[in-house]
Amino acid sequence: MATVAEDTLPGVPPLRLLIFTSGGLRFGAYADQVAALGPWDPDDPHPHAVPFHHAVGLGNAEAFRNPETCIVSRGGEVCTLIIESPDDLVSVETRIVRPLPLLVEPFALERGVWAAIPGEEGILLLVDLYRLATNRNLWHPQGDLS
Amino acid sequence: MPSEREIHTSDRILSEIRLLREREKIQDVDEPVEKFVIFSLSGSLYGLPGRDVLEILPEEKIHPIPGTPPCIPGLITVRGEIESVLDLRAVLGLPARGEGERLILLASSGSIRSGILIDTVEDVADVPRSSILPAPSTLGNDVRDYVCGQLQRGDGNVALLDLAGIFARAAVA
Repeated sequence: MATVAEDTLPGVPPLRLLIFTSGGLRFGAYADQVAALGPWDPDDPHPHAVPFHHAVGLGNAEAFRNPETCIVSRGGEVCTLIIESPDDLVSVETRIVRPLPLLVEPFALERGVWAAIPGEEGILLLVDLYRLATNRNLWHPQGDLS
Repeated sequence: MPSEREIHTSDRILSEIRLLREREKIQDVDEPVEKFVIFSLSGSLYGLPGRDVLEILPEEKIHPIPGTPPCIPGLITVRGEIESVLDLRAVLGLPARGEGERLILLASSGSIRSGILIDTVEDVADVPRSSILPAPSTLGNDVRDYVCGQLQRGDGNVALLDLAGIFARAAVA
């Protein structure tokens, strides 16, 4: 007889999240949306690379300590974000995911933030990088370095 | 032995007293009252209907969230659930407050629920509806849209706030 883990919503698999910090806030991005991660070299041309904190609208966050490029890819388009080196890659059960309060949801969704997970280390903001790239007009054709 | 006239007078007085007390009883029953949570903000008193206030919480760490306007400084967790926090000062155009203890009223109106930053809770009072006065016409433009009435108390006037209007304002800020 099939059983369902206590923290898993029926039919919804656990989320694999890439955890990183930006502007003092902790974010969790769908790992499946990340095509590649690698060290960011300011001398290496990434003309479309955008610091994550700019994309998400956190203003001028503190300088990167260990910046990495985070390549998001979808249907021949890519979005290149510069993020702080990820803290972790985790699998979380969907039952612990909390929808955002109605008052903040429209503003947050505009920046790709779609839900949150409360925890001992504070609130983890879940970010949909596809939505962020679309809403902030960050997609560019794959291979376009102009 | 008391005179007949004196007995009649005392009877009349007693009768009037009893009648008055009965009227007061009837008035107590008929006069509807409404509960208000009265709080201070920037030195002024404001009130929200008690039915809209779910909880009074000590201020805790507010987690910012990208994209929200200044009147929504972020999120808090309340027993494992996530709630938004509204800065009423920003909505009402009041000057920002410095450091110091604050409270958060967890309030709801319609489908929206949010914490509201306040200074202190002054009272939770049952107010006869007849003592709720219209909002004063002298209110500034920033506040007028969110005040639906006022109460006069010994410690000053209380502006009664329209929570639905405040949430609607924050939602389009």
